[in-house]
Amino acid sequence: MKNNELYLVFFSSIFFFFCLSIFIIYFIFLYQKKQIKNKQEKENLQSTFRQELLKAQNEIQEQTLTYVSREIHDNITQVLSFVKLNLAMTGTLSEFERSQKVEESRKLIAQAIGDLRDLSKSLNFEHIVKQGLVKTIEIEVDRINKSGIVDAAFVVKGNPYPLSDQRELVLFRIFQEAVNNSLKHAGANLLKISLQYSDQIFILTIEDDGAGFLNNDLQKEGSGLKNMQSRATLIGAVLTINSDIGKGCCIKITIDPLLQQLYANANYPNSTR
Amino acid sequence: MPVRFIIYAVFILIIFLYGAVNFKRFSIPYKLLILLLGLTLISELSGRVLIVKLHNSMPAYHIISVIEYTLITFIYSSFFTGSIKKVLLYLMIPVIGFAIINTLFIQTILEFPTHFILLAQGVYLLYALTGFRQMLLFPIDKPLNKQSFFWLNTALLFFSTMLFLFFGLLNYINSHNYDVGPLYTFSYIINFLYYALLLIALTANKKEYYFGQLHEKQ
Repeated sequence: MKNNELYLVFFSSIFFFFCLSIFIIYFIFLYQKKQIKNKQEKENLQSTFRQELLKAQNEIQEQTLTYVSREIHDNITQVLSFVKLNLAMTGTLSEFERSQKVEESRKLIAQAIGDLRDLSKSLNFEHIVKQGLVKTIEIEVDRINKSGIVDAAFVVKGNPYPLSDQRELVLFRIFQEAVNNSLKHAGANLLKISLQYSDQIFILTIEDDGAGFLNNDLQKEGSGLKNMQSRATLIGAVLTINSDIGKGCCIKITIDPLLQQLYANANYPNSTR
Repeated sequence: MPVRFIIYAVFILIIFLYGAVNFKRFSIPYKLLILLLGLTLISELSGRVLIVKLHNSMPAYHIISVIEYTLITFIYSSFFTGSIKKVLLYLMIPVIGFAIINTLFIQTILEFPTHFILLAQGVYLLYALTGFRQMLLFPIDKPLNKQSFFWLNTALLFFSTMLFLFFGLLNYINSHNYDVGPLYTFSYIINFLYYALLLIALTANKKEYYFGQLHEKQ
């Protein structure tokens, strides 16, 4: 009888081992397939991210060049023309008046040099990376206020920390696009921009008191808003838009600063996950 | 004391010592696994003492099966997040409740707690399959043989299915009054393979969280 028990134990265990082995082999096969697919998806995502980053860089430069050309035309050329006129008039003036005119011209040229220096800084794309998001937005808000088109308020809550160069660049581009929309399409008089830094979350909010639109119409809106949303997704952020007709628009971009994005290489020191 | 038991106990001791020596480099679930190995060793040895003193080692099984279930549940709950984690943890209440009822009223302290062990093995089987599913959902760029979670799932899947086979065969052999000797040898082989798979899981672990924390925010 002992042989019977042995056969029973032996064959049933062989059968079980066989089934388990089939399962494990099938799992390994499936997992490897998934790994390859996952790797391809990551590569595609990286390539899309690089393209988007390049696009964002180009758009920022394009906007900066437009600003520079406007500044040269409206500000620096005017100042230099005035200086030229001042100096042309000095021939007929007394010694005292002449020295006054020269002094005035000297101040105007110094102002033009200062403006040109600022412009050369803004022409350099690296300034966003060097100055960081807070400073770059602050400069942009100053520009908006100087233009007089709209009143812009800027608030920073919490202690700012770097979110990685690439993320900050994309965030700045989203900010620029949102502000452009408010200025060009919404007819806003007031802009509120806030940056909120905490250990758990980063929030960039751009709020205007413009014409607004129905949230349902988001899909119908131009590619600008969709573009902002897809860019936010690429850097691991969530972009929400709240708007209603006559009630302005509020765009909120939220990021978990600890979240590591393979393609958006976060430099935050606590990014250990 | 049978030689095969001594070899078995020494084998668990070696794995436990390996875990204890490298304890710091393991992530929390694997630290719990090392604790489980230590407690299993104590339970196996105290079972032998109880056989000598009371001629019955069953109280040790009643206690260790509940501890094992609790620790394995905590181990797996740290790999999962969201609803799966909640289900795992909430399920502990009825399962441990059943273990207490079983020990008090159904299979008392001097009987082998097959009801609870079979229920726990069924739960482990589900844990292992859910673990495999989770791995397929969130694959990582690392060879499978270097992924400790894969070895842990394989160990649990292997052990729980083999234990079902063991109890099935035990019932059959008992009902036909056959000799259970070969079956107990078979159970030792299952145990050796199970602990060997756990050892591989421990050697592959390098303080990593694969799914729980990593995918929580994604």
